[in-house]
Amino acid sequence: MTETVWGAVAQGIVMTIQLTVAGFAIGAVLGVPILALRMSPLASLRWSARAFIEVTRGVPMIVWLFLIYNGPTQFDPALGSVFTSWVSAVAAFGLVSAAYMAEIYRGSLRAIKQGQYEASRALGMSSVDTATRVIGPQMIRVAVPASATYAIGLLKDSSLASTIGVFEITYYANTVASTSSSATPYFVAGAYYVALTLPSAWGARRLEARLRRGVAR
Amino acid sequence: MTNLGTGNPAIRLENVEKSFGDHVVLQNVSLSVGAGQVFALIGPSGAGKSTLLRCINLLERPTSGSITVDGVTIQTDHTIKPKELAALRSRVGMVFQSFNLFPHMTVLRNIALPQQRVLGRSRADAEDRAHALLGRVGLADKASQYPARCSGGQQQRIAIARALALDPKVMLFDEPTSALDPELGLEVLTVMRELADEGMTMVVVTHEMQFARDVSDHLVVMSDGGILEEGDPHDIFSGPRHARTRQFLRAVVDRQ
Ligand SMILES: Nc1ncnc2c1ncn2[C@@H]1O[C@H](COP(=O)(O)OP(=O)(O)OP(=O)(O)O)[C@@H](O)[C@H]1O
Ligand SMILES: [Mg+2]
Repeated sequence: MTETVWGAVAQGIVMTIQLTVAGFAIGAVLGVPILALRMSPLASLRWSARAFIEVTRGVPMIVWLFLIYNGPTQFDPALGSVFTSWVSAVAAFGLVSAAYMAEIYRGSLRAIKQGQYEASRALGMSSVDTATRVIGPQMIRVAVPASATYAIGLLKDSSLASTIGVFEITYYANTVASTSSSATPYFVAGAYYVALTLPSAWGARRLEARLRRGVAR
Repeated sequence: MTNLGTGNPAIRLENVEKSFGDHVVLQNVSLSVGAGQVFALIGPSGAGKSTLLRCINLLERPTSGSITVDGVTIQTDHTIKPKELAALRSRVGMVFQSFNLFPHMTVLRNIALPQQRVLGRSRADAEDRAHALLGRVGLADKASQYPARCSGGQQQRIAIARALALDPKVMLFDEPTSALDPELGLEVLTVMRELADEGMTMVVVTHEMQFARDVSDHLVVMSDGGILEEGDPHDIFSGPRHARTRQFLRAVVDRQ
């Protein structure tokens, strides 16, 4: 019996990973233009980026999932074939991650001393070189720990996608639990999440240590 | 040593003014530095020394006036083209109080990267040059270290090497030893003195009166956004013309 539970819940592992990776990747990429808007010299752009970030982070993930999954079909039922469970979940995760990543990037940008920009300008380096050779690499080093923490949180939040029918770990746990009326599937699901987060946290720490080697003060 | 009047000056500032909002920081400053001269810039805190220095390579954009370095003139009330800015900055090396080395690169890469990006040198050429300059500032063995592993005095000498690697016509120093223990400051001053002896044109904002007196060949005393007096360092130290200069010199001499 328990072996079949382990096996049944395991069917969701790949989907959990895919959802987390896709959502995080979209957020990590979209976070860059949002940061650019957030730091724009134009006040209107700055404020729109800020409003986007606050609204996106202010609404709970599960509400975003329902909004994106159910919202469009209300206007046109045909949109249901576009906003499938998977697409809606990836969109919600990408959207929310973009807002969080933009803030993580902003924090790491602020950690870089003014003198770094000045030295680069005084040496005659172009603004592109300053961004890509001097500021960017330092930003990434500072952003890694916070991003890793966020990604691990996202992995656990991916369980919320079960509510709109994404076949990930929690979805299978729910299914098995409802037919067997036992809590064992949730225990199994919890074990899988821990098994996924532990190596991620370990990997993040290794990456951080490697990146910090040169920068440590 | 003094070759004022022969040929064009290495740096010429004409009627440079700078304000931050309503706060006027530099008022009508004109200055001419001959090729090979070593200028020391002293004065009380807030006098505008750093601002003046930063105007020379346009890290600070003057509100009005003109700046000429090695034949490249910039009229600051016009819009400045990126090309002009690059031309000016390529002629001016700058050393900061806080070193500002790039912490994520080895010492070698700190010195080589700007040469590759700004002058288009090949990586091999840039690194050869970096090794040579590291040898010259006495840090040949630090090439593969990261800056955080070097002492403050070493970091400052690396910063000097990084600036020199771009073959500047003039070097600007903003209190290069203020963040250092006296002993480490001495290493940096030694390198600067050698540079001066080799004929580099230098403008040095400093609180090191000994350097101002013994190494510089021209002293500029600033106060409240203007030049109070300038001339031969020994003359000014032995007989300052202005009461304000006398007061400032007495204060620093008492402190040391
Ligand atoms: N970015 C800025 N914005 C506003 N005010 C500034 C700025 N930079 C400098 N100032 C002001 O300009 C004046 C001159 O500053 P500056 O740093 O040039 O003085 P300094 O002679 O170098 O002093 P110190 O010996 O303390 O370094 C000061 O009153 C300072 O507050
Ligand atoms: Mg200063």
